Amino acid sequence: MASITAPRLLAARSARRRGVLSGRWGAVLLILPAVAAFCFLFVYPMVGVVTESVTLPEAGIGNYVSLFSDGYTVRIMVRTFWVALMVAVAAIVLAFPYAYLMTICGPKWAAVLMTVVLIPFWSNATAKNFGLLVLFQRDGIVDQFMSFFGVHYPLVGTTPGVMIAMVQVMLPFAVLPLYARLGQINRRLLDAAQGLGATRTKSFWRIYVPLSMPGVAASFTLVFILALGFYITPAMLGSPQESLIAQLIMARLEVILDFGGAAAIGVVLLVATLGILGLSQLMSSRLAAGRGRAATGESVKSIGGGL
Amino acid sequence: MSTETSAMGTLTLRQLEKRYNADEAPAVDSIDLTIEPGQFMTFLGPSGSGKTTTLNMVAGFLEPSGGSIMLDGRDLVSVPPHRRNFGMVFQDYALFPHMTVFDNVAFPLRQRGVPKKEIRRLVEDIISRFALEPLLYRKPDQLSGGQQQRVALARAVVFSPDILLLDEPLGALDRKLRQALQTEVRRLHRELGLTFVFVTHDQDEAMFLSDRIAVFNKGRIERVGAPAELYDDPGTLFVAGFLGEANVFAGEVVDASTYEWKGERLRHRESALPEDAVLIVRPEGIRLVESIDAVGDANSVAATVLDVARLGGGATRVDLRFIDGGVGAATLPAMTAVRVRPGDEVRAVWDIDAQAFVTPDVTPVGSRDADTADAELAHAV
Amino acid sequence: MRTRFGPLRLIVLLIALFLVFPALFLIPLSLSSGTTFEFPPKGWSLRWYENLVTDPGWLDAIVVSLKVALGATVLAVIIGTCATFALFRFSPRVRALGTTALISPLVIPNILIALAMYTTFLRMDLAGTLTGLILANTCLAIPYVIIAVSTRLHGYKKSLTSAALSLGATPFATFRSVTFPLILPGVMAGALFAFVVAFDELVIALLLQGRDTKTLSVKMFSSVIEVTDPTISAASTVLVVVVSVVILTIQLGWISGSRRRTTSKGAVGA
Repeated sequence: MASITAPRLLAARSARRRGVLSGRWGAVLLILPAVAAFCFLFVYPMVGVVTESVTLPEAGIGNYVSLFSDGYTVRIMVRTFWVALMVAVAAIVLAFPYAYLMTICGPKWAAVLMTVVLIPFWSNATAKNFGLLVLFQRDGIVDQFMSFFGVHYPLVGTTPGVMIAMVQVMLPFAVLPLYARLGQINRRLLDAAQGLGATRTKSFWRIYVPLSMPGVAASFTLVFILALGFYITPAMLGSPQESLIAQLIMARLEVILDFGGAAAIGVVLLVATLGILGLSQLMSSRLAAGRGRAATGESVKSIGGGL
Repeated sequence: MSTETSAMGTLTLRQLEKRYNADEAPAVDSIDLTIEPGQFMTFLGPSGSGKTTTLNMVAGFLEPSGGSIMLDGRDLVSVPPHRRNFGMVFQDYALFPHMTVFDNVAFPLRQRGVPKKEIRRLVEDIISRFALEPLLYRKPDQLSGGQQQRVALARAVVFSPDILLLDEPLGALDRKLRQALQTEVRRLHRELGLTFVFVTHDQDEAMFLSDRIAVFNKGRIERVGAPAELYDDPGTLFVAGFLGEANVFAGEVVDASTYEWKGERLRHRESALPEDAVLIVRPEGIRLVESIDAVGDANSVAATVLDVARLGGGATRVDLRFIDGGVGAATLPAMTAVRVRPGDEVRAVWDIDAQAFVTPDVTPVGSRDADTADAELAHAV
Repeated sequence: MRTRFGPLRLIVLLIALFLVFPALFLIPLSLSSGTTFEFPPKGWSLRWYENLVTDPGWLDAIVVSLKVALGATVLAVIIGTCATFALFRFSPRVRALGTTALISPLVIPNILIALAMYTTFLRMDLAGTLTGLILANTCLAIPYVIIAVSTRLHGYKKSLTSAALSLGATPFATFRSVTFPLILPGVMAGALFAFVVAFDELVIALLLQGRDTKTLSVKMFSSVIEVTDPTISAASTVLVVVVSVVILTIQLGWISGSRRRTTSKGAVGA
């Protein structure tokens, strides 16, 4: 082979000089800004909230005592819990068929369905809620439509109205992760079950649904947590008499300037959030442990045994 | 083709070691090896035997725990991989997906500051040598596996490296394509005259391509030698079983001309046999006869036929069970009348020249799986 | 096979309508001449669009939102991309732990983060400042960047780096010519996510607002809660239309791109 006039790179005596960013310690350097941001912009403020809940306006658990005994705070918390729960259930109920169809229709239709989900997903939340407000307002489109049937119940300012609106806002957040997980389910397993004699319906319920549970649980958890702390929808479409937790916190902060009280409510919300996350982790690890067997052997065997 | 012998050198590995955990067996345990300029050296062994780890140390992607790597007497360990001037070919080709074939092949030349005109000339030259001209401006995802590997080869030799390292480059190809590329690799070696260090677990491939084979087992090199040498005289039981098949008869040395196995007296011509020597015979060295009268001067043992199967290529394989319960095989050449059937009692016969003696394995147990540990390469993304 | 899914398709169609419904009414509403949110509009006019681009209150809000979003995006992309590279150098267990930790702001309700930052920034005199807004949104945006870049890095083969080094490229040249171009789509996706999240964010912006630091979302919100200002319909329409156009372009481009790619591949032999 003809020689080339390139400079020879073999510098045998050159010491091994590696960049300052390579290797383990370089990695620590690279991650430092993120860790700093995490600590100072996230952990530190959060710890601050917990601290303030027991130090403002004076030291002690007075804030907690008062919020559990003043009657309305607990009511708001319970209301928020139920609203969030129902919103999450409704969102999953709607998201499942949507995501499921996306996995079985052809790529073109899947893209269309995806577009329909992506547009509200990326749209400004305030704008979306405004649109819902216009729809739900007194003498708005929905009200006029219902008047045809003799029902005069403007959804604005009502808790059901807030719930429906929240489902509309949260639906993309339920569909997208669910679609990702459903897409990973091996559909050949359904073929295998049918080869063993199961009907389409049976194989769907005995095999597909159990396999989809982890994805469903994850989406449910996400929507539930989002709904618990959601502010925009209840603030714009709800009424102050039927507030949710986020509105309560805002009011305490901005109107009454009760930082300690707001912090205490915030801590309760934080504990609830972490609790739900922990529960969901526990359930998904139990499901995953069973899934190792269930995904292949057991589900299909139980189909065969149950025929 | 003229070769730039001044551009190549002797690669020497001395007491090379790679240890990941102090309390585990090392991935590479004190390797000594010399690779002459222009040689085609193959590292052969099962997964976890340390062959890829050794290659990665030669390439500079792993730092040795001990020992030295030298090129013409100059230490290589302190030289980072991008300065070693070795070409390397990977099993997953590692072609840059965002660059065309031209840019991929030109990459090493650009890194070396070669002028544009010269780059064009060299790239076109090597591309035509590999008959890849129509693909010059395609992207890797538009090429087939065989084409990708040839581009990878072209890219690895275009800058006239000192040594070409190949890490199981043909592993991802199907059989016919694999054989076609093996021939190309062999031809490339002849034409370029570069030192090739080739890693594989496929013994047929190793036999076909190599000038010398280093057989790896559990982090050590059990034997180094030319393919025919290793095949005829494997030296250890592991090499005998890994490089080809062997019928194994572990018996006792009686005297300077007799070896006894399960009551059969077998003759040998070895001058000095160790006490634990084991007799092996390759399947193609065995022929089958019905009774001991037809044996004559050769060695033979009793055997029962288990199965008879025609092989692709015309030969016939007869699976046998011997009196100790062990199994073996005879490969009868094509165009031979085969008159045995499963269940027949026969005598397996072989000439004294067809047998060899090996030592049993003495390697330690519990070695770490060396090849998976290569995930911890010294450089990062 | 098609008719089999009849009922399913019908249900999904209804759900799809449910998803896009509210957005549809924004457009005609924004063209209303009335000063309330009444629908259907009694008259037509472009005055609210005019107002959106001439009224100093709205213009300032748009500018503030852009500044906050840009600032937060730049910071989040730099910090997040570096962090992701670092995470991939650690062992898988450390990587999983680190990723979960750094992504945790995603699963905490915004109201909590807003509350925490507000009280902290008050003490540090950052409340009501542009810096405070940018920092707060950076914290929100970093997880998105990490996720987007991680996804890309997962598909990156380490052998590419090895190959580049073996071919003589220094570690920096390898990063510049091989690694970075290949993860760039992930960085861009992360940047886009970060921008949208920071631009649209409301709750934190409400608490951290100042006289001169009202974001567009805050202005829109207050034009519903405080003073009825129909300009919000014009603003909402613009935001939704821009997003729709971008997504439609991407989706259509992706569909035709994949069709192109599948036809070119078949033409080569072995």
